[in-house]
Amino acid sequence: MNARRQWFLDPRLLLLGGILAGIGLGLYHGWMVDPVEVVDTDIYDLRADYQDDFVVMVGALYRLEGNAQTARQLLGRLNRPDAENVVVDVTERYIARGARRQDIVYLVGLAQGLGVVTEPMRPFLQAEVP
Amino acid sequence: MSGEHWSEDAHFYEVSEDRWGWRRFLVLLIGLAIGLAAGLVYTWLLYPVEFYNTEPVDLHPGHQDTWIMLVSAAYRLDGDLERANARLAELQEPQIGQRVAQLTQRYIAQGKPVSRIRALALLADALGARTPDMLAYLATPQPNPSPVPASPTATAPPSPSPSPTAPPSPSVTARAASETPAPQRSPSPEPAATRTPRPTRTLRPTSTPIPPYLLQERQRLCRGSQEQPQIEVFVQTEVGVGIPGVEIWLTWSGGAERIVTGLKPEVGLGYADFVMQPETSYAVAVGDPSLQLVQGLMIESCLARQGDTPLTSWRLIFVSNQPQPTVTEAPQTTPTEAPQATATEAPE
Repeated sequence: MNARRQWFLDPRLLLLGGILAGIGLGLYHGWMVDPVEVVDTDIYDLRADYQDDFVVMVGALYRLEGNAQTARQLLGRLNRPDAENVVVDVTERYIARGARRQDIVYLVGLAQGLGVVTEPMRPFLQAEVP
Repeated sequence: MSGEHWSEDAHFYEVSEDRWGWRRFLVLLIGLAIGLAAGLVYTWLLYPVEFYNTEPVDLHPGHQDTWIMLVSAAYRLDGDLERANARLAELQEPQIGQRVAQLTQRYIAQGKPVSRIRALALLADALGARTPDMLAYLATPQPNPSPVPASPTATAPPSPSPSPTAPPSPSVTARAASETPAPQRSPSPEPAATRTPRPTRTLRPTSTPIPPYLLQERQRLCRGSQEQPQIEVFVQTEVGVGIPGVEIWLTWSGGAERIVTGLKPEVGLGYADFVMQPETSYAVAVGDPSLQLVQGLMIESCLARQGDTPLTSWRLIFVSNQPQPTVTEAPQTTPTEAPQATATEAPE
């Protein structure tokens, strides 16, 4: 009988090897060659600085329209539980780092509209207090 | 007779090569397929690449529109075109002006809030993408653009939304004078003390006709199916007083009609209506028939969830662009009163 003794001819090992090789190929293809495409992302996927700018622009829109509900809805796209906290956070960071005054005023106005004025914001509200 | 058997220690496999070679290949192939499928399921479904820290260019088109709208709002307030351009550049849109103009057109067609349309129109205009439909909004005085002053003590509270019955009052001339001292009417258009941040925006008084009336509101009405769809026009002063005797020009493919406000005083002195025909697209001009302020009004079906699927009517509210003598009139149906059903306004 013309037979040879070759361990790698074991069908179970072949199957296992094929699966492992296939998984490796699949991972490589799915993560490296053809990953899920970066399209149609949401606002909350944006990089932090873009999200901050988004909040500033919502502040501008609020200043333009004075509609707190619209502002809340837009801020809701950041997918964070509390729109007020987002505004306070961004505003205080902007104040702390000395960002553009215009942006700060938009943010403070928005915070005021949402009823969450904090101490660092007060200097920017001075002129508004009669 | 079998050509295969296990050896004693079961670590080796004896096989007749010529008979079983194709089976080995098949087994390997099946393994590969199973592994590949498992790998792809894992990478595409179970644990896909997570994208965070993305950029505006990656946003869903709807969110990009929101981004543009917000950029225009900020631009309208601060007039910083450079910054607006920088924000828009994040979208990596080669024809960003056209994109803004298209969004403006869409907002106009959808009857979005005038303040947003105006902001978008201003931005599109600054980017050199003006369209005829924007004209009315570009010429419209801005109600509350009061840019945030640079003074550390001057912070204004959020301006209230312009009420439909109390539209912005400053005239175009007054606004131009307040932002740029004698910008275009001067023989030498080099304002020395210009603090306007909108260098590209010009009112072009000599070449651009300013419409005598401006569209303030465009509502889509869904009423009972028994009612015939119509275009309801309210013409009023800045403070919401109806103006009678104003000619409304309705044009469509192959026809035109002129109606006059004030013939139904029980509704309002500034009111006129027109019964719409199916599959006809109407354009509306007020006062001057050559200046169409609204286009593309058609009968549409309301949403099925509203029951008897009525057809849409349209309510248009125009505001005089010029000072009007005070007209006293009896209490009238306020145009802003909600009809039976109106299209709801989304944030964007």
